[in-house]
Amino acid sequence: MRRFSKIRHASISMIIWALLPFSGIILHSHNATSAETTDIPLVGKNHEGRSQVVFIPEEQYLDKMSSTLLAVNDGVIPQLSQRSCEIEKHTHFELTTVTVAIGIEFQVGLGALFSVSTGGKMELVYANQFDPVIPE
Amino acid sequence: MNIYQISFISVLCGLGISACSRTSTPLTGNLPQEWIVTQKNKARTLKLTSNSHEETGPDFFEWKNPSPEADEKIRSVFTLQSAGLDRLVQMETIRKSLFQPLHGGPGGEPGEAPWHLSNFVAEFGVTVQGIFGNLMSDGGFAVKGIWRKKGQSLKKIESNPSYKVQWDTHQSRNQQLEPVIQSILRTGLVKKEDSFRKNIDRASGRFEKIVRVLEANPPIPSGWEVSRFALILSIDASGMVSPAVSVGSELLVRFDWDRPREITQKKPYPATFDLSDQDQNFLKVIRALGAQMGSTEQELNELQGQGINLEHFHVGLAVSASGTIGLVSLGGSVDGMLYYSRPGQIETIQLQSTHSDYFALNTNIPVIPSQLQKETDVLLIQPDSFRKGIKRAIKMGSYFARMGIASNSSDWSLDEIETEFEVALSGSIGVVTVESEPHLALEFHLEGDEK
Repeated sequence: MRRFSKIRHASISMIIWALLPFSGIILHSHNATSAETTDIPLVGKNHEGRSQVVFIPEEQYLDKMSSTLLAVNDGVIPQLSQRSCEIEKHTHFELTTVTVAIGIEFQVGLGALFSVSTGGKMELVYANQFDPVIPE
Repeated sequence: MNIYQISFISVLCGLGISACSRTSTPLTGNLPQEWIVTQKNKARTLKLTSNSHEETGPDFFEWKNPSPEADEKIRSVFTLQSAGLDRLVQMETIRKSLFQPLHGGPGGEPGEAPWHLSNFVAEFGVTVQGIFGNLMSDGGFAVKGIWRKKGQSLKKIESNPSYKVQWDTHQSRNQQLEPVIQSILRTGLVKKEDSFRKNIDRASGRFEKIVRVLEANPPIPSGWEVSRFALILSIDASGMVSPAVSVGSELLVRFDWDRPREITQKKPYPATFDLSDQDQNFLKVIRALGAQMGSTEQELNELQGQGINLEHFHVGLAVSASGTIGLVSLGGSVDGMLYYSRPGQIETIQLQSTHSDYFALNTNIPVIPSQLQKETDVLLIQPDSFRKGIKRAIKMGSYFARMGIASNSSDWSLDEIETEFEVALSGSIGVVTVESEPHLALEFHLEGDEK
């Protein structure tokens, strides 16, 4: 029987999910039969757990994506200074990276609008240190 | 003296985009049906027991390339993300604020530790019909791409610990955890301290037990080596501590063990405890997975020539009622995630193939289906079938990497592609669909141009 030592290295991380109130952004989708060749698919599963596909025009997706990222940049990041100070005041941790998750949600049903929810299907990662890449 | 690291990694904010929608039927541009583990295959595999296996038909491993229409559709989905990011760069008002120092950092002084956008992560899903597209909130991702702003480094949250403590082996586990416990309590998110303390002690004990066995596993010659073991715990207000692998919980604690570089075959750690039979079986599984991936070197070397490097893979682990440790869905009740690195990614001593290679390559891979988790049965994948499945998975994963590379723009570079797979007990491996849960994830690093 072999004998080995106790563990040597491990790290422990804490992640807090802070949900901020935001207005939802509506993407108007098409039925597959009317989708244009430039439309892009959004895939997910419906409330029954089955695959679901909707199509939205590429230009509309780009517009919504840009405006959403801008809203995040102007609405979320400015709050970080205060938040990071709070964290560092009460804990041993230093806030070095922030991830903002963006959810894309839909529901089957004509004209249904949906409440905001968390997602994680797109993430913007902000850092507080410049660490340039050195080309190889 | 042992060194442990604690890091307060991130604040994560949720934002939703809602949509009006109507159901649809599949268009052209689907992935081949052979890339998907079908319901029929799943039903067959669930009949297997630990003492039997099913012959795999030729359809399980038949390889088909996606059609040219599918290539075009899939490439366009990646390109759209780059285009969206490029548009940000082109907008003058955003350029001033998004990519330059925004605010003072912890010290509150302007210019000190400035915040700036570093990476962009997008997840993509696959339907059971094989349609590839941007993923909505419901459903697991099949492919995750990480774009990096050129000229900046990739910030990976989970590998960015910022706080270190000395973990003295003469202290009890409770004493060692106290700084973490105090930090968590100060958030005010946990109301029942006693319950929390008891539960976090139990969870950390389980983590330590697995890690002690991992450290008893010297690198396998010519195989992939375990480089990390991670356990993510969700904590609620009542002090409940439970395994968590996905987003949504307000407070998560992540335990990470990184393989010490000094563990080599020539220099193992000094012995302090005996390995039980279960521990020995766990080691067999660890080595079998590493050896299986090690048998794909030829395929990986060919990909390297295309700028696609498979550097890591990870699997979910669970303990069955009988104590056997096996693969489990990454989205299920996971007792931890095991990360492997390709030889050369961590410091190991390379030796010639040995008997240990042979035995590792011929070990069955145990799987613990979530449906049977409360039973004693453990299902087994035949090693030959698993090996064929792994090679198919590499082909599929590298396909998405090639499509993604084509999306690189002048400002953004797709640096990493992670593809997740569902493993059928037949050994067949398919891209995970939005309706399924992954068992295996391949992480590709892409060599892009730097400007």
